[in-house]
Amino acid sequence: MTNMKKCNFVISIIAAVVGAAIVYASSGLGIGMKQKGGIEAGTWPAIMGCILLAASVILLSMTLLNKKKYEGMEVTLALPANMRVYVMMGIFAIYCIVLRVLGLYLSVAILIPVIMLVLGERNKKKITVVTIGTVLGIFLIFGLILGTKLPQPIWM
Amino acid sequence: MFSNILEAFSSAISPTTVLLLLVGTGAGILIGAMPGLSVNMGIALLYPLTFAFDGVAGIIMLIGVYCGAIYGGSISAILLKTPGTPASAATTLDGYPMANKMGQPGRALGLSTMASTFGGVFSAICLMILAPQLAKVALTFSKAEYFALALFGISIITSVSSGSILKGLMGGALGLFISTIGVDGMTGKMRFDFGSTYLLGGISFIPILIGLFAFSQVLASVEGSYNETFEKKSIKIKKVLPAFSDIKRVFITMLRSSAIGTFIGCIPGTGGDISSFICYDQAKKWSKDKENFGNGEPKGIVACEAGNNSVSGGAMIPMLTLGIPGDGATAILLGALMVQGIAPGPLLFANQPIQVYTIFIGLLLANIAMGAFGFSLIRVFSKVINVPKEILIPIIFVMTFVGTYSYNHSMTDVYVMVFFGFLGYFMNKTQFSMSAIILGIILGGTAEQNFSGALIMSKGSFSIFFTRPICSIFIIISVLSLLSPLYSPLFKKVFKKKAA
Repeated sequence: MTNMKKCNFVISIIAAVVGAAIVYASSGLGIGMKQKGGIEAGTWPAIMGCILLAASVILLSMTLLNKKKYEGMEVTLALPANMRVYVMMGIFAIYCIVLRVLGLYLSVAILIPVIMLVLGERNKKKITVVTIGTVLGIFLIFGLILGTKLPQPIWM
Repeated sequence: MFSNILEAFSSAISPTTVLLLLVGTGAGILIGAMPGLSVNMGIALLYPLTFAFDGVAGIIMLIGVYCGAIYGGSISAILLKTPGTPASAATTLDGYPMANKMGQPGRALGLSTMASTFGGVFSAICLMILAPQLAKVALTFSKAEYFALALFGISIITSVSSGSILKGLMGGALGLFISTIGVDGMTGKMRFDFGSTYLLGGISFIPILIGLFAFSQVLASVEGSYNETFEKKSIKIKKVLPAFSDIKRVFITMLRSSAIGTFIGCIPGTGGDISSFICYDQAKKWSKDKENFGNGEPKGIVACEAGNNSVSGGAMIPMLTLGIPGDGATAILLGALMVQGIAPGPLLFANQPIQVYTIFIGLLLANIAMGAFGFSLIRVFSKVINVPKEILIPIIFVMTFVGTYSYNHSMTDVYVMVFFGFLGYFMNKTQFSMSAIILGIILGGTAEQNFSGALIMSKGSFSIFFTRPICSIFIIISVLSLLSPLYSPLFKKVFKKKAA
């Protein structure tokens, strides 16, 4: 079981790296004031980078000073329930590619049964009705009524 | 002015607008009634539908969703003791005992419908009266005041809505940084585009909004539904219209709670959840029947529902007049208005009065429609609590993809939405505030332009932010709210000693 102390360490490091990267990238755009009083293009992003850096240092310090408090705060990241979420994330990563290849209607017809199976649904009738109903609903509302252009298969 | 109001009224009651209003309100009630779906998620999901319509018609649909979802949360709060939205958490205290122990679910739902409608209409009328007056004051603001206002809005939401102010500050800074990606409006330089044509135009806030508010929340629902056993609830709802004796008993409470809720709604960063608990507490303090609270007291239900629904009009006052949203939902509405070419702020009242009055009338009609739906279709809406998550979750996921793609027909937007959805899931677990990030993105451009503009006015001197009274007040309040974790424990100790 992870705790908030470990999470805060990771967040502090990531925020510090991101903040430093923003400040470095902003320096190429120019940081400081212009002659007529305005600011250079990199000034505002650099301020945000500095805020992120400062916040990450303060977060790290506060976490070290209040170790016991943050160790007692559980963050669930590795329970079976979380694993189900990570499986879903994997499915959606693949779905992003499938959507591009097969277009919306075909990919949704595959996605819905997969999600329902992962959620524990085993009733084939229910899965079929929900899949057909959703595809029809999208076609009616977005395709016909709103006239929205939706992703098409690559062969069309 | 009268001709503007007439034209706004005819625009608000056009067949398309009325249909969208009814669809939005009905959808909002359904979304609010389902535990696990929030007001912000409902607005984020239905927001892409507004692109098909010109002007404020789509905005009025979103206002319908906003009002309907806050009310809808009371249905599951009363029937299941599980609030559909955080704003209805306090309604469970007396709503569920009345429905369950006393066996009067229809009476509880009727009182909640009446109070929600009253609170919403009250706040809509306050919006119509107060917003134009505040806009006149805001016309005297210069760039320094607008910068301070943007800072104030972000700092308040950061300090109130996140579990950790530091993380809220990180989120706000991240959102402000994201708003800088693309071409800089003042210097014309390309910032952080890394040679990508997509990033040249900046990252649109819509895929980020849907990712953070909708996609990540459904991922959390997937986690929450693990090992949950679904039990169908059979509820018989009889008489819904409140009896005259009940109306007489709760009227003053309803009026007081509506006023409190409207005031709380005006304060950026607060929302229906804070308002409903404060109103409940006040109702208990002022009541002669204190011992009945928690056991099905009608005033308990009415205080919470009038309090949470009256936040809607209150939150729109600073949003329309100053461009500072009162809560997360109005932050999304602010973005929606800007996409439609309607720039909230004091000049909105001078330049686009018809659109403003249409929004006022739309809010009023949305609350009336919500009441009409509530009283006539409550038995239908209450069946929504029996929809299993295995059906709901896949449909919502699909809607996030369809909605994101329909904005710009861009697959890159879809990838951005999924990325922020994953990020949002982990950020929610570690006490980050999604509202702070979105507000940073929405207000970032305004904040930077006004910061730079103020420095041009003062020829590079920072004293402009501290010599102008209104500007310095907002900056002081912003700093105080961000430093509150340092001094609020001290105040609590002092007050505890005094009380002892």
